[in-house]
Amino acid sequence: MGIKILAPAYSYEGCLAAFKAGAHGVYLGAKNMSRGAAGSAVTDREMARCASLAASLGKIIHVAVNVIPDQRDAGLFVKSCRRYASFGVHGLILNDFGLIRMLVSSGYDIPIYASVGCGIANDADVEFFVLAGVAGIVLQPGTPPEFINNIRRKFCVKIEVFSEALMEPFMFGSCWLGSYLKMNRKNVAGKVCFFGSAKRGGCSRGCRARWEIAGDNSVLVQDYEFSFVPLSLSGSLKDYVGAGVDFIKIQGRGLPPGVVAGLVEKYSAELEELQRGEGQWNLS
Amino acid sequence: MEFELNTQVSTYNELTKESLEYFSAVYLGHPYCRRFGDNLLENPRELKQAVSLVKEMGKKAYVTTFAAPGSEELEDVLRIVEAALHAGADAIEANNLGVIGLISREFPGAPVHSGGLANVYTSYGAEYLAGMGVKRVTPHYELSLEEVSQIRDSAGVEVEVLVHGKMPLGITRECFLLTIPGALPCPAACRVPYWLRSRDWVLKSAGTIMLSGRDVCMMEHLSRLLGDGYRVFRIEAAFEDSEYRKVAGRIYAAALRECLAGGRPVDLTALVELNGNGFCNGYYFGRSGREYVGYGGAHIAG
Repeated sequence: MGIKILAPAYSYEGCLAAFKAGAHGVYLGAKNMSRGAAGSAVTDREMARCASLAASLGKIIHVAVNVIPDQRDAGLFVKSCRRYASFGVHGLILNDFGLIRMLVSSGYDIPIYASVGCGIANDADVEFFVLAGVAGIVLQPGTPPEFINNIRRKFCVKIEVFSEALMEPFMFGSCWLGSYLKMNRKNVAGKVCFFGSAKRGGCSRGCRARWEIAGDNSVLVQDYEFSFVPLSLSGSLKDYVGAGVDFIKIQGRGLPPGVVAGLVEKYSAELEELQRGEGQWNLS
Repeated sequence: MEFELNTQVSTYNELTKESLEYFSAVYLGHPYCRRFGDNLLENPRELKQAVSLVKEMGKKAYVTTFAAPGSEELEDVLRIVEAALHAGADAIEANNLGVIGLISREFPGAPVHSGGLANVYTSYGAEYLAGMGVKRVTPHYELSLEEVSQIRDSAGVEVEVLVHGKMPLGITRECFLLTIPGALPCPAACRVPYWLRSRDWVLKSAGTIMLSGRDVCMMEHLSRLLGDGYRVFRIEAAFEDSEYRKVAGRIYAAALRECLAGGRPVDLTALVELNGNGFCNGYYFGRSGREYVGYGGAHIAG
């Protein structure tokens, strides 16, 4: 299989726009079951429509089911995963290794991807998730091609990297500062939702406040802001293609369809150019 | 076991009898940064001596490992584990899932504790780790006591709970303090407190790890924890001095005994003096981690 572009979408129209622009697949967030703002996720009905559209065009749909629920909602979580699979989606993106393992060991046959929130940071982490039964892994933004090349040689696993993302000061999957500062835990649609938690709902983004930094005796910095740096692999795709990446992924399920389409077109063009120029890359 | 009260010690020099008197077990080594001065994890010879010293004190010696190692550091992790086990460590603590898998493969049968950063959110995760040789789990800090209980009840592993100290909140990609103008250079920077304040929020940066500015304090809820069957308690002190360990250890050891005898200690005065930023109880009561709920459910806004 060649390298594929996975675009984000939060609606049928977004899905359509991404496919028209050349995306091979789209990833959606499941409403109340995925991290991020409520407006960036789709209802079951919308998901089913997107899956039908993808099937008619020979494209793929991945669904982020990446909140870590209260364990008492595990049954509902599993039911939801089965329902999403019944819509004909091609992969689920999960954030908790326990739930991944539980789904895999119960004979669940849809490919499961370890979310970026799983915090995969080394070879041993990859091995851990492969043994747990994932079909693919989503790597942290900024993961170097050397790391990808290394795991490509060692493991049979699909590899996703972000081509457009925001590099956060904290490692993905290793930050719960947002819910320390502000979390609202309440029941929505029969399940406990953790508003404010990056790993369990949607981050409160409390860290984006302005901070005073001080030692015991003196203030060092006023109005400090944590740095969030945009990442783009544009111009350096060749290294990632050569390293054996399966999917390049555009971060941002809340991005407007027009913006996503523009990014998809940009990366499609770069991949085509690579294919023409090199001839050696196996591009779809 | 009546109960285990443990704490964390990063360097050999901090292993003083006085500061550890009230603890029955010690986690050795500093998991957050390889450049932390005199980190026991960087010196296998000293680590072995530390394990021996702790055991001579009649305590259990656990050895921690790097929280977020890169691939190139995994060999070093294995060397630490080998040295620790050779020295007679009672268990290895791992905060990284890959490291847990690696230890399970390379040192089958070695007792492993999964730390609070290992992302154990469900009993399914704890069960899976138990199958890899994990004997004790610290559930993720973000879980409520109800959720922690589910893990303990369903997964069949021993559960450790943080009862006091600054709770880890996030691992940074690079040392945060090295980017702050005016902060001390490495490795001195993370030995002194740097506070981040905004509104009524306060955090403590310790370089590669961000900590709660307030101390988690479960003093008022020890009876509940004991009543729920918990027997392993941690006082988080990776970035604290010996005095902190000594005072917090003395107070909690006495309070746990008092609770077991049917009493209910609630005097927080001496603990207040350890940290001027006040208390929180983490996520144990299903609220934002910085909030504090007192005995009887009295909620003191965070």
